[in-house]
Amino acid sequence: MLLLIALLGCRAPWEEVPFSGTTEELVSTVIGETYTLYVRLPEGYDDEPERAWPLVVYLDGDWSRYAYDLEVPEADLPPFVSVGIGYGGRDPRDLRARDYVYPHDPNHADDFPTTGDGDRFYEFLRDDLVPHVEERWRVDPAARTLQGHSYGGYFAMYAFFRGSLEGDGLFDHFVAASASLHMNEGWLLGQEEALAAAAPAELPGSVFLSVGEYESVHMNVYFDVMGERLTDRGYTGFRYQGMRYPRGTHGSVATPSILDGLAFTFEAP
Amino acid sequence: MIWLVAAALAAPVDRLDVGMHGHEDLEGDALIGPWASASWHVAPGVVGLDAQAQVSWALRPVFDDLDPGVDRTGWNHHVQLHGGLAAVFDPLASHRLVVRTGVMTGPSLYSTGGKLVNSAYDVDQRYHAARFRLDVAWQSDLVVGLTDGFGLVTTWQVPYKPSPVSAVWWWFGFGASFR
Repeated sequence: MLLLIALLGCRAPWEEVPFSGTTEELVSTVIGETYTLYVRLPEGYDDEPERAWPLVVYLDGDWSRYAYDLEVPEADLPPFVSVGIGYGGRDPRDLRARDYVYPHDPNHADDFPTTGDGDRFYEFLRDDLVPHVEERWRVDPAARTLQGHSYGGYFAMYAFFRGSLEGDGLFDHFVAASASLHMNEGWLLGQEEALAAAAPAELPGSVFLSVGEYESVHMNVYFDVMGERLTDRGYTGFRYQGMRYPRGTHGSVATPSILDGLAFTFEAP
Repeated sequence: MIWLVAAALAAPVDRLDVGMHGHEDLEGDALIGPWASASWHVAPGVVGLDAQAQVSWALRPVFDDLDPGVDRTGWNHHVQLHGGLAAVFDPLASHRLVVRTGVMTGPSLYSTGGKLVNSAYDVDQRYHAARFRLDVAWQSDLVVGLTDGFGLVTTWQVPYKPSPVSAVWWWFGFGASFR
């Protein structure tokens, strides 16, 4: 039994299941971190050598890749290139807290002391990942989606506000599943106010935000407030969809949010 | 509770247990509250059969001070009305030491809600959600009679969880038992 426990403890569960796409490593010049990329090309990719495909970049790739590998192909979605970003089987807890949360949240320092480098992770996406992907595969630079769950959902919303404020066009669509909007005492609401103050003439693209009905009160309230504000601003060209999943919990909403969020993303505006 | 009262009126209760119970919700927080159970001896004997009905209510107060600038209060209620059958083992044939074990099932109401105030971003909102579900649990009781009509009871309940959304992981109670 001890041997069995030792053997099981050697590898994380998500390392045991094969991935049908390709896996490669990318060293970030911004962070100095080696990331594992899980790449899946759409069916018929090689048959249409001139076609550029929509790109979906997703976070927590070490486990989210199974939704993209197993669930997404069964959904009635247009074909796209998906690239998951993971940590190659290393314990992701401190790494994802470091990469997905900005600024550092001292209130969560006991559980997640590493938060705070989300700004650098954004720059990694902008300066390393997207150029690398566009060099390796045929993707449409005008149809980039970023998807994340939990802290990853927080980061997706951070990227939405930062990209909109800076106007860099890094991503066009954002799928934020059960986003941890309570981090930093709701700091992202301040970014929302900053965006409203900037009064962009138009805001092309979309945001899909979700929460589980049985998540905590603060998760649900921040979800409501963020959705109400983004809707009430009436940005030209912008689409928002909020989804509260009945009987949903923080974990259970992850995969449905990917499917529903991508369906909303790919809807004709 | 109405169900319990109606059943008790329809047939004399052979044993009434009252006490407190606690259980753990999905997030690992403890809920506590009162519990009452009525039993009818369907097949009395050293080894017999009881019909049982029980009601319990639990409350989890939430005072989350994780973020100093944000005021969060909340609650989480769980009301359970259960009935079932239990095998009874009364080795002394005197009701002084009784073991019951059986399956309980019935409706449960889960209710969660609370209030969030964040003055930095002008947020002051409430949230509430409720749902019914049919819960199934394996329950065991141990009754130690101190007199002919009074004793102490402890009870354990292990709920069957048909989905990961289940809100109860374990259930433990103790109290007084009247005959």
